Amino acid sequence: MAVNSVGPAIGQEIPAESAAVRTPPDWWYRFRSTRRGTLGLGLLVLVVLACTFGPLLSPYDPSAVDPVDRLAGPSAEHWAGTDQFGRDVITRMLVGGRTSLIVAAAVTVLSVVVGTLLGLLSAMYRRVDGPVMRFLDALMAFPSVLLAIALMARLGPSIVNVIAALSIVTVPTFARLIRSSALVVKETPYVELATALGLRRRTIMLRYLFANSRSPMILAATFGAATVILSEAALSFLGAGLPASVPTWGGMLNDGQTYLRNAWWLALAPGLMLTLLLLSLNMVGDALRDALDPRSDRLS
Amino acid sequence: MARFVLTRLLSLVPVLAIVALITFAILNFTPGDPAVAILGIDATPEQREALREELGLNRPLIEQFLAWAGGLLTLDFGSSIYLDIPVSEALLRHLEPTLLLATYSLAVAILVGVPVGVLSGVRRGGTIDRLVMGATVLINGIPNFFLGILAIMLFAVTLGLLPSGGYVSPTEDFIGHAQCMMLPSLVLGISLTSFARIIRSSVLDVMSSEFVETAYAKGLNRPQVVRRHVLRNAAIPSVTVIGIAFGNLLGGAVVTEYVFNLQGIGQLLVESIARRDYPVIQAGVLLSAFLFVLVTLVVDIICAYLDPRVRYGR
Repeated sequence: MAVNSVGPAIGQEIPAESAAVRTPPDWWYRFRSTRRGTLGLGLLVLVVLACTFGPLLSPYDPSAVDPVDRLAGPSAEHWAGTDQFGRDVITRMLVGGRTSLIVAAAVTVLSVVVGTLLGLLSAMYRRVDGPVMRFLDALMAFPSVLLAIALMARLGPSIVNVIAALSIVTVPTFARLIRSSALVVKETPYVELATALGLRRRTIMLRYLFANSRSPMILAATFGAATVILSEAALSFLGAGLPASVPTWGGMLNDGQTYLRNAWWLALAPGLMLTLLLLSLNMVGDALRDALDPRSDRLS
Repeated sequence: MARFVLTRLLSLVPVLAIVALITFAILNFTPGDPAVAILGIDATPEQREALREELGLNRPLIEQFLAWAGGLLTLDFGSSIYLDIPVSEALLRHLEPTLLLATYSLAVAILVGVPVGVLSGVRRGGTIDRLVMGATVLINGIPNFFLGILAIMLFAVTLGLLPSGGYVSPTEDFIGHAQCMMLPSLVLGISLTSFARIIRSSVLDVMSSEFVETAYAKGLNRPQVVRRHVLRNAAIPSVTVIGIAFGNLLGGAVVTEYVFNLQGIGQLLVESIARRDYPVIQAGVLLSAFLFVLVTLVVDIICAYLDPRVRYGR
């Protein structure tokens, strides 16, 4: 947790604690100084911007059927060709990306909130710990894609159900992580001191355990978002995710597989975009890990 | 050792019970009437009533759960609604491709991942290390189903070297079996090799420990140190990560079977979703969770065998 180990250089003006302008934390500078971090963040921003504003700039409706232009290859009008209904692949890819990002954001936020709550509660209160952890262990015994498939089979295809199913799959990992980091903090002398001073357990939990769970949470959220995007794509690819009428990367990859022999471009655009997004998130995650914990061994 | 195995076995009982309970709850506690979900909204009330009667949905939940859990103990998973055969039989029919795919791809993953992880850890910062690290980042980024589609595009459609999908049993035609399993096993195996990275960092941890320094100091050369000291100590975390990779394997197999049209358990599960064949889905998911729990146990036992500290507790 020694995040603030790098102090300002000698002779440099030390920023006052109560200064109106808050300087970014040390880890941000360490993050910015790595090539992996800046490149990953740049790519991530690019993908997010493209998926957010791209559909507005496209002249095509993602679900407009054009029977004349079915399965047309890449051209000046359709940069990545058209699908089996004559719909523009690029436009559908961008709209699908939007859906992916919405699902990822919703699941990550939900899992962070619920995971942090469960993790902190079970670290602080032993009575909560046993049952909650047993239950989460059992949830973690399921291979996550399979558990999500089972839930989706029962709930039926819709964006809310995908978010619910993927959150159920993601929460246990987050909760375990927060619990283990909170247990370490709980043993530190300052928490002992706080207990000796008579602070209530709830106060200790919120003031100390919560504050110290921030950096593992940021890391888990980054890698978690990548896993969620991958799982959502896998579910939609298998036909167990969003409804088939909504453009998704997984659904487009499924079309691409069906028409592999006569339309190679169908799978390429969404597949590359998905890979790019996952790569950028993993790169940002790696760089963050190095930046947040300088002692961890660097990959390069 | 026997005592360790026994306590670990006993500790599985509550986990497996809760796993069964969760699987049951997914079907029964989620919103909506299963009879409506299975038959669709067009069915008449009489048809729904008949199905509820048949599935035992009219009985109290506790009774339903006990009947179902009791069936599990005798490997009776109920009957498939769509296929009209016992679920256990449906699963058995699809078992062979899944089992072989899992075996081959785990073999690929271990044969590639372990040496590559050790090598890049031993020669940290070298060319191999950089290449391997770059490759694992890429492998982590490419979803295995996209990799599968790319592989089919290249090897089946463009080059025409291998079949794009389907399954041939090894007892029927061994060469045909090897051809149809080549791409799926490589794709799934490669997508699991990202654990090489964790093996690398555990090798790095051991390499910087004091006993390795001592080994060098007493005059051993690098191959000797790696063989005698580093590998043994790096083996424990490696076994654990390979165990975790097994969980990804079970999930990945579903998608890979779908891509390559292998009629395995994963494919059966995916088809059962469209057919709303809940007993099959339930049994498939439950079995994979049980398998994963068992693998975790085996991993723990191997770790205890390799490291006495685990056996006697910290």
